[in-house]
Formats: sequence, structure tokens, C-alpha cells
Amino acid sequence: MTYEFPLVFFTVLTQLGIGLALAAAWKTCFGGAAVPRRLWLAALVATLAGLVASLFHLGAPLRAVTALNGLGHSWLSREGLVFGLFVLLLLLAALRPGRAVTALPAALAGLAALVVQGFTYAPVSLPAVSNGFPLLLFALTALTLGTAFGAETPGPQRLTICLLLVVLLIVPCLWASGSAVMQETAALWRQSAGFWAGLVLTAAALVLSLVRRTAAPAQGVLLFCGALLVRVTFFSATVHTATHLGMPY
Amino acid sequence: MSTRYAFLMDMDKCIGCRGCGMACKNFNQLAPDMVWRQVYPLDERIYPHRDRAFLSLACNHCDDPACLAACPAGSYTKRPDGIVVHHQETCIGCTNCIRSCPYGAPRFNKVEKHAEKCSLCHERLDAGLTPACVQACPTGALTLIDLDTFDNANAVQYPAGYPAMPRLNPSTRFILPRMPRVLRG
Repeated sequence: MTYEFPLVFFTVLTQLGIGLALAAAWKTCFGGAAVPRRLWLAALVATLAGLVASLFHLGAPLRAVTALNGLGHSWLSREGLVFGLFVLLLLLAALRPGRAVTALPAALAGLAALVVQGFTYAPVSLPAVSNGFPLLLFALTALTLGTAFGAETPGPQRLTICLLLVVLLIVPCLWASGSAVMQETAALWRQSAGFWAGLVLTAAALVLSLVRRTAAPAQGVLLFCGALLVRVTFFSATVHTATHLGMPY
Repeated sequence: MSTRYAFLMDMDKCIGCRGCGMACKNFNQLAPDMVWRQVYPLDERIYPHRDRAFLSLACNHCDDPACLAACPAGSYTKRPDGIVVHHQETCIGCTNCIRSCPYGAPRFNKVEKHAEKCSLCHERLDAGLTPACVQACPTGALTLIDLDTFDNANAVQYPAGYPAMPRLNPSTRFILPRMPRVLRG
């Protein structure tokens, strides 16, 4: 079992960056008040921190730029390209906050990055997640974190937290009715203390939101820690087909 | 005339001696904790006999390899004869191929920090020799075949205990083990 901590931090931090960018773009286009520059800067810092974390996953980080060689066939290459573009657009948006002409492209690049990330982490060798689940999980993570730190009203945050909790509770049950590898994945997720701790933290953020009736950074911190714990489970407890060679599938 | 090299694994002949894996390790000078070919005993739910049956697996040199598609650095190439070659010198050690291959063929070399996998001994093939594992097999359970001319109605592509991945179209073929001739209690 490998925990893949660099990938855990890479995916969660970049999704925090995407969520903040989406919140900032929404405020720019539909909100009345001016969008503070620090929101765009926070998105930029989170994304850059995630990209730095991803380097620790590589055996040869100094040659990381060659990861763009496979754009024609590799989702990982496309992920690198889209995140490079996203960082540039975030920088532009941070330089010119409050303008839709810079906010919209950044938000669209963030959405594209989410989609590409959803494909990158859904390989055929992991039957439980070789579907739309990674995209759904990543999108809901981005939205919960973005609304927690970027939204002023608690409504959107509560909605996305509820959706995330429902998805995380239902999906392992669906796996339990699948193939042997999917059933084993369901069992490992259910046995994972990190998974349940992540759910408890996410639920605590929802309770806090209901009690305080505002979107506060404390809820964001709870959601961020919860997302990290669930992501550790995603990378460590999802069973690979190769572990079943010689056994029934 | 085209060629598509592949392994034929006769599970009826395999005695699980692991000589194939040792020959592979020896010829390719692999690190101590590294294997490119591994022998897996069939689970009793698949082969419920006291005698054991085995799957000897290395890279399947798929028609549409997941490793090649997943590699961001372009470190995998496919030769015209179907052999999927990994170029370690350009590998950045992202392990995406390891995550993507459903058969666990690429392995991570923790010392060199790059992925490695079976090359079907293409250097030996180019010199007119057979792969090291094929040459070492004492029972003739492993053979090299050309899928374009191979015609054996008993051969199967997806035996039990081996994930079916039609989109990848792995090239390895298998002869299934028969029932033991002597049933022991």
C-alpha cells in the first residue's frame, strides 16, 4: 500500500486553487462587490504549491518538463499543459482583478484542468475509479473548498458539502456490487480510518456552517483536512487489477 | 509479411519452478528487488486441486498498450514486430505506466528511480535467439509465437485469474491446465 503523498497534496491543492478561481470568477461576473486581489493570489499560491508537491512524486524531477512530450496520447501530459496555462491565466487575473476578460479564461482553464485531472486518475487498471468518479470527486472537492474560502454566503457551501458526502457514502456501496477487485476496493475504503475521519471532518464543516450561518475559514480548514484524508484513501486503498493475478476477477 | 511476437504460456506444462523469472533477472541484470517476469499460482477457487497450476507473466506487449498511452515523457515505443519497448534513459519516474498497466508489467526501480519492464529480449530476437525466459523453461511451457501465423484452437487470451482487457488486446496466449490425472485426497 503506497500513500502517494505528493499526489495527494498535488490534487487537493490544485483543486483548492481551481475552486478559489471559480469563486472569484463567479463574483467578478455575477457578484456586486469588487473581487479582492488576494482571492486570485490565494488561488495562484495554492496551485503553485500543488505543482511543486507533484515534483516530489517524480523519480527525475529535474526532467519534469519532458512530461509534455506525450501530449498526443497521455492525459498526464495534457494535465501538465493545462495547469501551466491555468497558472498563467491566474497570474493575469491577479494582475487585473475584477475584470471578466481575465476572470473568465482563468475559470475556464480551471474547469479544463479538472476534466483532464479526472481522466488522468481513472486508469483502466483501477476498475473502481476507471469511470466518472474521479472527475466527480475532484469537482466536488474544488467546489467545497472554493465556496468555503471564496463564497460569502453559506448556501453554496452547504449544497456542495452535502453532495460530496452523499457521493462518498454511496460510491463504495456501488463498488460492493461489482467485480472482485471493486468489492475489495469497497472493503478497503470502508476499513480505512482516514476515509471515515475525512467524512467526519467534512460533516463537521457542514454542522459548523449550519450553526454559524456564515461561510468561515474554519470550515475551509476542516474541509481541506477532510479532502486530504479522503484523497489518501483514494490513492492507497483503491485496488489495482495486478494485485489479483491468479485470483478470480 | 508482418510479425507480431507474443508469449505462449502452456499452463498444463508449467511446474512453477520460476526458472523463467530467474533467467530473465540474470540476462537483464536486474536489481535484487526487481522482477520483470513473475509466476503466480492459480487460486484454489479457479483450480481446486491439490496439484497446483501457474500463470507465468511478464509484459504482454499489448496491441494498444496502456503504458505507452499513459507515459507523458514518450519513453515507450512499439516496434513493428509488436514489441513494446521502454526507454529507461528518458523515463522521469512518474509511475503513471505502473498505475495504468492492468497486468502490473512495469515495475519501479527504487534505486535508479525509473520504471522497467520486460523487453521480450528484443536484442536476443534481433540476434536470432529466443527470449531468456523461453530458453530457460525446462518443460517447454513458455514459447515464442508469431500471432499473425499462430493457429491453435486450444489457446485462449483471457484465462481465469487474468484480467480481460479487450481494448488493450494483450498478445500473450495461454493453454489451460487439464484436470490432474491422479486426484489425491
